[in-house]
Amino acid sequence: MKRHPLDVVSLVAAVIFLGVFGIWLGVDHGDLSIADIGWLTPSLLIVAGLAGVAASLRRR
Amino acid sequence: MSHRGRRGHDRGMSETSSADAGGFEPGKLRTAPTQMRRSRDDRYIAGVCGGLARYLNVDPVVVRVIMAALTVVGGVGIVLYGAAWLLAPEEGSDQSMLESHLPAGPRVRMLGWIVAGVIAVAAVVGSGPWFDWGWIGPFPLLGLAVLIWVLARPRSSGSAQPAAPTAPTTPPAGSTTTAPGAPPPPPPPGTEPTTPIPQSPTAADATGPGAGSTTAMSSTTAMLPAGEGEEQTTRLPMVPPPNAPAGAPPAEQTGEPPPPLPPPAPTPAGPPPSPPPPKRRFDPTLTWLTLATLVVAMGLLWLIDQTITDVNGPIYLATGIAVAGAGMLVGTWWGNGRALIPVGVVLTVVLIAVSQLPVWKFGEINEAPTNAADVRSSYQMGAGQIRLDLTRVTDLEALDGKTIHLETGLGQTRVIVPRNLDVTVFADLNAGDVRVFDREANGADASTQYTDPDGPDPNLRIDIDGSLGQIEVTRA
Repeated sequence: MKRHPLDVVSLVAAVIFLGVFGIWLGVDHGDLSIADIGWLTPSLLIVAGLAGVAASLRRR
Repeated sequence: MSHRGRRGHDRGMSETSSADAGGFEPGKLRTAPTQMRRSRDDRYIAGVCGGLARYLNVDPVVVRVIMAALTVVGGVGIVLYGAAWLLAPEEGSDQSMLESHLPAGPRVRMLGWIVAGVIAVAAVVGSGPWFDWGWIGPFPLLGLAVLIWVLARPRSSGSAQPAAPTAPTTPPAGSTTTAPGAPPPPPPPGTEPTTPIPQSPTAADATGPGAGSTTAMSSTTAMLPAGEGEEQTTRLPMVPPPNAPAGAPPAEQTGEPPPPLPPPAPTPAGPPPSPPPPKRRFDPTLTWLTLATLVVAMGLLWLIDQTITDVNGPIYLATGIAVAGAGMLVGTWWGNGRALIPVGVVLTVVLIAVSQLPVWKFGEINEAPTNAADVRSSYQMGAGQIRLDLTRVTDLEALDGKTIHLETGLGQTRVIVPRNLDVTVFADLNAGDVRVFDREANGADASTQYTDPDGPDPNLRIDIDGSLGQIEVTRA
């Protein structure tokens, strides 16, 4: 396993899946309600996408 | 519909008919899933509609209109289009995008079509009153988009030119790496592509079904080779970058059609003894490392479940998602974690599905208590059946003023009420069939209420909730 230039695909996927886990944790064991998923999920996509944009620009 | 497209279609039809004249092969079943090819020259996005029109020998406009109509019906059009993109080979090729990434070969194609069909049917059902996808809606499509995006990337320089590598591939390697969704960068002044690529209009022309979402995908796809090139340049500096600057376009790039998949053997057309194209070897270390960690985590959870406290299904799934996500995060800088993406997608879809259940419990609750003390205030079932028979309760007056709550995520809830008990019933079901004495409701958001007229008998309130299934309250 060698270090390589930042892989944007992996980064975006990681943010999405860790975010899904975070949302689940918040709803199942935290103070968030099911209704909060309605704004959390789109926000997660926005964050993941922005992370991808930033990483792509930085990689260049 | 452009003039160019129509000409391409006509030419394609004559090709098809001459190919069909080859003879009857009794051992070979000819169906769209096995025989359809994505069109190379009549395409807006990936040539699916053009290819299907050619296969059916009808005007592509008809196919496009039908596809657009299907897109409105629960997004079926998008599902089918995406499936065809993944599963149908391009003209002149025998290997689809998915097959080229899997060792299993053409058999995958039929399986893929079956899966796509099931999803399409589910999407139609989902758009009807039976099941409200709610916020889950975009997830399957998102998964499909990610899959296409990942698979559509060329694996090595010369081989497998992807669906629509057009303008954005021509700028010099490394000069442009733009994020998904961003507008394509203008080509640098000196590098105007001099050899126009006749087929495949740019993504901006896309007006086909689902253009809104797929345009973004195809432009993303087209964007990638530049970044890919950069990666390879860093890895193998002595090899000329795959998408070389416009000065001297390599012969293999203009000579269509390129060989479908395996890295091209030294072609006679190429310059003398060119070194073999750089092979991107997949390093599975991170994948196995993560999956092994996943196994350890599952084992630990199971152990906790056996010794300390109950661990239910969603916790296993969510932990799996977290471990896979962590693996991908590592893969951002070390090793290759992309193979974990499908694992995460599957776990997420299953997690979403099981989140619909109120409790992690399956089977049947069947109770007929004989005294009021045995009547619980709450009965819950994840998937299965609840049957509560109150007719044998001897001290009904002890139930007066109480409330019973019953909840079944998936399945049937039945309550049988004795004659000499007055009840107030609130029944709510996301989708299905509700019957409370003589009142009925069905379809999506089926709910009904019932209140006995005030009498001398004791009063009991019954609340029943469910996601999908049946609620039935009857009087003995």
